Amino acid sequence: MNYPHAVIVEDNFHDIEMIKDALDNTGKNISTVVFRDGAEAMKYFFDPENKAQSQTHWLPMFILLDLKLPKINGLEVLKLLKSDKKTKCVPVVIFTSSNETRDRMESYELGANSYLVKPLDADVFYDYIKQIVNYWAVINTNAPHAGNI
Amino acid sequence: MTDSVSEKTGKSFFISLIILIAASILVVILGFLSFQSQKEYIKNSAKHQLTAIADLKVSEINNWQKERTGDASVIYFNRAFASNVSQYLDDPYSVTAKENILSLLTAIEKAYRYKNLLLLDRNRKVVLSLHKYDKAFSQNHSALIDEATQKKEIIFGDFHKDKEAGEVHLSIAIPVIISKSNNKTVIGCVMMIIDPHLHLYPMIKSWPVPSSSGETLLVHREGDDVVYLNVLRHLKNMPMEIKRSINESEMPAVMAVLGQRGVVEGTDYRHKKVLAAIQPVPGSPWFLVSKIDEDEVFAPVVTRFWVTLFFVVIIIATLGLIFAYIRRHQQANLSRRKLELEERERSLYARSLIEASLDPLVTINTGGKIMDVNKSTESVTGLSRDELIGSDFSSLFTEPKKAEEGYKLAFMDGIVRDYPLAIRNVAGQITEVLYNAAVYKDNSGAVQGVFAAARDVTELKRVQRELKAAHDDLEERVKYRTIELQKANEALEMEIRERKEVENLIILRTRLLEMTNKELESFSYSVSHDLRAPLRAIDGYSRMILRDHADTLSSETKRRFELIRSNTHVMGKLIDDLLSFSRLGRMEINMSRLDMEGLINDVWKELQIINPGGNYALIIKDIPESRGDRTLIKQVYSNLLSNAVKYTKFKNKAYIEAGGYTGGNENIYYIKDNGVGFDMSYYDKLFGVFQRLHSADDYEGTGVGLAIVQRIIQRHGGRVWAEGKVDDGATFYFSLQREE
Repeated sequence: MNYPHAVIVEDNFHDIEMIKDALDNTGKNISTVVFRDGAEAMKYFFDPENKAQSQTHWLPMFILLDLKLPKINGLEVLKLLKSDKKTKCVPVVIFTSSNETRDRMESYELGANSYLVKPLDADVFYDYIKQIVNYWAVINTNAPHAGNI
Repeated sequence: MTDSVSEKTGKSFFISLIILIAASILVVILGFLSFQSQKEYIKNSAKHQLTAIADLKVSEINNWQKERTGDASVIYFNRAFASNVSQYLDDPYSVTAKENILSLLTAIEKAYRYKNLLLLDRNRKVVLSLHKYDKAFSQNHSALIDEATQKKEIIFGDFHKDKEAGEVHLSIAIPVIISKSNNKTVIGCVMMIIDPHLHLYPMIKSWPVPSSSGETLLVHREGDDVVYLNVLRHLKNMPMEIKRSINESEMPAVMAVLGQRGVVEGTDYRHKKVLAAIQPVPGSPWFLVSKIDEDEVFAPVVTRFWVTLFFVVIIIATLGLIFAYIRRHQQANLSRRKLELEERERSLYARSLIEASLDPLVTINTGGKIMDVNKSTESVTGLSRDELIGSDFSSLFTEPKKAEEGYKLAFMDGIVRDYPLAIRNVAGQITEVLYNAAVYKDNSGAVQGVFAAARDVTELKRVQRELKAAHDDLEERVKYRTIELQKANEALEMEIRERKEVENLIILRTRLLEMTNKELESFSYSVSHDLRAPLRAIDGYSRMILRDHADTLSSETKRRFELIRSNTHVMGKLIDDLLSFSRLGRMEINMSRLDMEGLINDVWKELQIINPGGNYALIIKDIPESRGDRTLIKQVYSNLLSNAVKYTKFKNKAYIEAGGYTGGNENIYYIKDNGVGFDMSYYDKLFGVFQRLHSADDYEGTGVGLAIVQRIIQRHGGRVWAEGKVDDGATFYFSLQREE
């Protein structure tokens, strides 16, 4: 697995395509790990069988988390991530189509580091991803070492 | 009637009472006057008596004085005695002269029991004395002796009290004169000493009539004092020991020495009220006061008072008794009259009751003859009262025998009830009756006759028949009605059932509606979200193609890709508007006071940030405050103002006016512009969702703005409407409930 990397939890195939394209476009050479539902993501972070956990840099720079997910929804995933001391320092960016105030409030209450509504305009979409990478992957360099704290 | 009687009784009682009281007052006044005159009479007679006594006493004293002066004259005019005295004074040892002198003096002493007689020489020295005498005698009597010597007359001395013996006496000084050729020379003086206790005091003390307090005083003035000269009746002191100041002017004694005369009222030395007569004693410094206690004087008056009072009481009591008797008599008369009146009224009342009775009433004697009837009997039989009385009772009926049995039954049993008979009147008309009869007795209990009352049952029977018919009819009708009612009930029950079904249906529909509403909301919500995803993908892929193949694509293809992208954006906007519109249905409304002018200004500022550099003028007219959800009403103004801006953008001079006014129980607000306006014939499409009256090419927008406005205002309980004309501007109105 290449490092540094980002974890994307997203069920919409087209969105995954666009996010990956946008990340590539940043020129920061960021590899991605994608999970199509909450359960898969949970397995990655909390299943002791997961061999990746033995690697030094197995925790991502940031997690892009959709809220409408099959099996375990995004808020549930967020809650688990933020209540475990291994994972709670990993920045979680909620990237969703929901503009509901309730979702926004709940996400921040559970410890989300950012909440972004997926824009319809592709230009704005690419801009958002660029900014996320700039902020969490470049400016915030502490993130990769969070697992060792 | 009884009222007026009692009124009269009350009135006469009142008058009688007044007369009684007046008579009593008169009696009391007369009694008082008679008492007063009696009192005055007694007082006057007491005064007369006192005056008479005083006069008597004074004349007695005068007589006594004259007698004493007469005694003195025997010596005074006796020349032989004078020569004897002269001889004896010249030669005290002349026995003859001495004996002659002594024999005369002793004779005088014996004749009127003088206390002492003394001879004094020219130098006032006692040369002879019949009894022992006081050493200071000459000195004590010097004034009297000198007066007698000087005046050469007999001088009657005043009461005198010996200093040593303390005895009171009176003295008479007689000058002894020798006449030699018209030259009279006093050679000595004879003193006659009188003991007042012997004659004078008893004489003064004696009262001509029996009295418990009558007393005569003899007083003279000594400086500022009044001295009582005689023995007082009510004090044990010796004479001349009692003195009173002349300041005690209420005392008759003081009045006397101060010159008052006649009868006076005052208080005596014991401070008791007295009546007194004052008289001066002529030829002396004495005053005589005859006095008597008022108590004694008025003792008969008091008796008279009680006697008068007794008579007054007796007279009043007699009057009272007479009054009471008369009254009782009157009342007895009145109550008798009243009773009689009442009795008459009662009997009249009873008679009128009988006459007023609609039932024929008859009294029958033991022989079955009618004795008395009432009017009703006359009318039912057609016979007059005179014709009826004395006739056979049974002859009035269709069945005389049965009638006879009836009244005989009454005589036998004392009472008969509801005995059916039929009366036939003179015209042959039949009246069915029920007879009730009872015997009546006199005071001794002997049966006098039967009192019979007939009840006309002709009408009753007719009514009974009619009633039965009516009853039968009614039963028929009830039967019919019951059937009708049953039918109506069934119909009603059916209706109730139907209604219940309708109600259930309504409840069901309401629930369905609620569910549908909820579903609709979640539907529009998820639709909005799920619709966006493919659009995002279309836009994203178009962008990727344009970016990745920029050099190979023809400009026409590029333009078409751009069109795809802009259409996805329009679609996105439509979805956004749909979303916000559907969200309005779910939002809670938070009411607060709204400053509409401030709110409009805020919205206007935001609009100018979004659309800078327009040639717009907003004029805010008078606008009332309101209550509403601040965010939503702001949304309303935002939509309306941005519409106004939008539809005036081709005008040279855009004019937008905002204002409001109060109408009834609501406030009405408006936004007016001079923009393109609209055709009123499409008015019904104005507030519809995604309904547009203008081309999207000229005026951007999805057609949700006014729908949102309407929905917000409706949720506030208000109304929305508009006026417009093509190319002549539009005015949008909305109303909000007024604050209560």
